[in-house]
Amino acid sequence: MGKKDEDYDEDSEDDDLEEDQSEEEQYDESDSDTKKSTKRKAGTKKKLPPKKRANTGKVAKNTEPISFSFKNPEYLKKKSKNKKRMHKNLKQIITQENYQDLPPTVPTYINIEAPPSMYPPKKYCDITGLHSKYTAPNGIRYHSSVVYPIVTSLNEYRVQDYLGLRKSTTNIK
Amino acid sequence: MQQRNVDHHIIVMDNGGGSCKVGFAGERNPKIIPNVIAKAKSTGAGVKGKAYIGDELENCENYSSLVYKRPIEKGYVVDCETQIALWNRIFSADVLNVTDFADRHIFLTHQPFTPNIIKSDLAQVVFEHFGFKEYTSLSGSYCAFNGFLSEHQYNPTANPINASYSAVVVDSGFSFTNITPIVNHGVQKESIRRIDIGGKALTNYLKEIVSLRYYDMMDETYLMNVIKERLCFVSLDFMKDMNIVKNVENEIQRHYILPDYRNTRTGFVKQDDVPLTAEDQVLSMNNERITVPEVLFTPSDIGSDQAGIPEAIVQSVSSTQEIFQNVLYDCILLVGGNTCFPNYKKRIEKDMRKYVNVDHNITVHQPSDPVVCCWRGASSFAGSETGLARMSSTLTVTKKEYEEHGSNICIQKFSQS
Repeated sequence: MGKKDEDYDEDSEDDDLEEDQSEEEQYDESDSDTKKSTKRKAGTKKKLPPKKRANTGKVAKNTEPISFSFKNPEYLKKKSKNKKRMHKNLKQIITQENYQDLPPTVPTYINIEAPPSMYPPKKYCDITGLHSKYTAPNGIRYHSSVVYPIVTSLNEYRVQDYLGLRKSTTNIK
Repeated sequence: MQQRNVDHHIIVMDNGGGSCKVGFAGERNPKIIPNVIAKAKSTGAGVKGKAYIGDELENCENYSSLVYKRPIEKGYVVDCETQIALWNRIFSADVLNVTDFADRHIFLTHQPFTPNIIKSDLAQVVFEHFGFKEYTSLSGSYCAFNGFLSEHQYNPTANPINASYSAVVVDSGFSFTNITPIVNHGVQKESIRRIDIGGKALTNYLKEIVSLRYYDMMDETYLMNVIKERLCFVSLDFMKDMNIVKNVENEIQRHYILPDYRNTRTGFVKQDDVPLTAEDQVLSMNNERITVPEVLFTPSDIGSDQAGIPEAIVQSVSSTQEIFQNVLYDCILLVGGNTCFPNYKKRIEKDMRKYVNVDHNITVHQPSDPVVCCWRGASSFAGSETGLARMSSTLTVTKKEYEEHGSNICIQKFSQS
């Protein structure tokens, strides 16, 4: 279960890329916070840890509309204040559907996901996109010795950019 | 399904993540409206950017730096407010010219396992915001299957479909790929498989690799989508082609002239015999042309741990009863926007052969227009006598029923298909 949640996180990130980056960034933080808190809710269910109260006001504001129904009278008022992100994203909706309570034989959105491939993932050079046999110490895969000087010249952020492309970043933002 | 009178009381809508296909029941060709609100970034002088709703995007002067807001995430309508704005535009005089909703019937397609919250939100939009008289919803994959069947009425020379009315519908759309086996008109719900990769993920991937390797294109989603559609193709022998692209000059490489916003707004592919001018900005597309669509076949390339389309088809079919498998492999139907990649059909045929026992015949079909196939199926379903009879008996919720039972009745009725 936990593993699948991770996947959704990654996917929604992928989708968000479509939208404007600079504007997206400011929501990224709060967004991931809401995600965390909803996940926590789903995970522990019975008792919310007291830590949650200690969170910043921003998070509380963002999670508030989630607990209300669609016809909450506050809905429009809130909207005028903070126009973006008032709708729940798919992941939040799926969490609310309580699919985990259903017997595993019932097909749902979650369990129709295609299982992993039986074949090993292919490896490509991150710099050129060609086949790659080698991996540099910083995680970048490279095609040949011609590319290696470029690999060593990359700074840490750039390396993360490259690794993020195939979602194998090691350090969490 | 013989009768084909256009029925202006039934609005048929295939509300997809990329574009919304809409028209009246019985029509042959829908109007295709981008299902997106694009906002121009505010200019330096503090002027708020203009918003382009749906088809207004065509009038946009400058496609760069547009911020997109889409109502649909992975095929499900999550943002009803945006969707209402878009539907308002679609029903307006410029597109469909519908004003008397109380008299109309709306026919929507839906994706399998739509969460109940979304179903009830949509029912609210349909009945309370617009006030439609009746609301029908049918599985998009089934509509696509039906569209394929109806195509043969127009083109009798095409291969006849097997008599058992069974098929595997591979709907590879804008934000997801769904694989749905249909046996004798019935959707096999337990065997549906989904892959979270669609055209949007591919465009984003192309945008990112180009940004890391050549120019910063992170703001140019529209342009990258155009380039993807013009230049990317599915490689039939990926290993061989990857060896070809190693060379500096090769036959796969193409040069794309980026737009200068004076003569061209979207740029164009450089022709071999036309020399470059000094002003041209060139983006050379080499292995990107094949590695981007390859993600559909090996999602592990972008770090997803789901199987690719051919493998997922096999997973899906082998989870059905054994007696169906033969007929299902014999009719694989490819629909959705990604089907438009050159060689897509051939590649699926080729890959499927690797996974499937020799006893099974493999036949892959591709409708003449994979993007509107689903809509056509819905339209011919709603325009035919048998379809209408089925609709009124099991698939339609009237406003009266809605007012009596609330959105639960929609959840109940629409989860059957």
